[in-house]
Amino acid sequence: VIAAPPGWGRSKASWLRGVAAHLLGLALGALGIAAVWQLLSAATGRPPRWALAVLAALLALVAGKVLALRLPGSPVRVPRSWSRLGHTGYSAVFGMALGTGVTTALPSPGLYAVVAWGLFAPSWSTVWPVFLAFSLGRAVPFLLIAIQAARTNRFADHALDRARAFAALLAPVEATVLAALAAVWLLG
Amino acid sequence: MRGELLERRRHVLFVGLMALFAGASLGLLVLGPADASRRATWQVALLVLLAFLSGVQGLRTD
Repeated sequence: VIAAPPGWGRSKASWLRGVAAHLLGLALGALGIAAVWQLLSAATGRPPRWALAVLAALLALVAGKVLALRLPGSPVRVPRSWSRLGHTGYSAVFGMALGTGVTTALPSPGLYAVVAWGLFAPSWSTVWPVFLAFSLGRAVPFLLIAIQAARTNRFADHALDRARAFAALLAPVEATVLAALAAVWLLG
Repeated sequence: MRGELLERRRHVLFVGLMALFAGASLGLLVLGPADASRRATWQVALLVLLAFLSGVQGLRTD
């Protein structure tokens, strides 16, 4: 991060407002981008099912480190200048940017499959839970780290490093899920 | 030291459970009955898990 993330320091009330705004921002960002993919799909047409299967299979190979392919992602980082919005406003906008998944750095290869689902899915009812789960995935570690930092009254460097090491362990699980999805989409 | 060991065990358990879910899904989908409705439900469940995993991994990049 270029600017300090919300959730550490400040008074208790300000901390709570910042955390709540960030969580709300995450959910709004995720649901907003899901709506954008659905609208885009309605305007341009849905991708074919076989294309999703091929994409998921390729992503499984990338996530499993079988295929050494560097996937493109946004070079944008949340700029420090956004802190002019105030702690709560900044926390919300920061959350919205992260919640979209595509306006900042690529979190993992699996996001491509999630976006493809946003474009392919025939109904909104099968899209919003998926994107909300993405925002939850971002919210849970953030919340745990922010609470730990507030309880110990220390900056969260150490907790963040441990959480990052744990997140790296999830790549093989993601590869397995992507392989399963490739099979589903291939079988129709 | 003991705390770190417990935490590592928790991590292994968590990752193991998710891998088990993913593997079971794969098995059910490939070997299970060709029921379109069941397949559609599993499809969304897998996508929910994938999206959650992707969100957590965002910690490494943001």
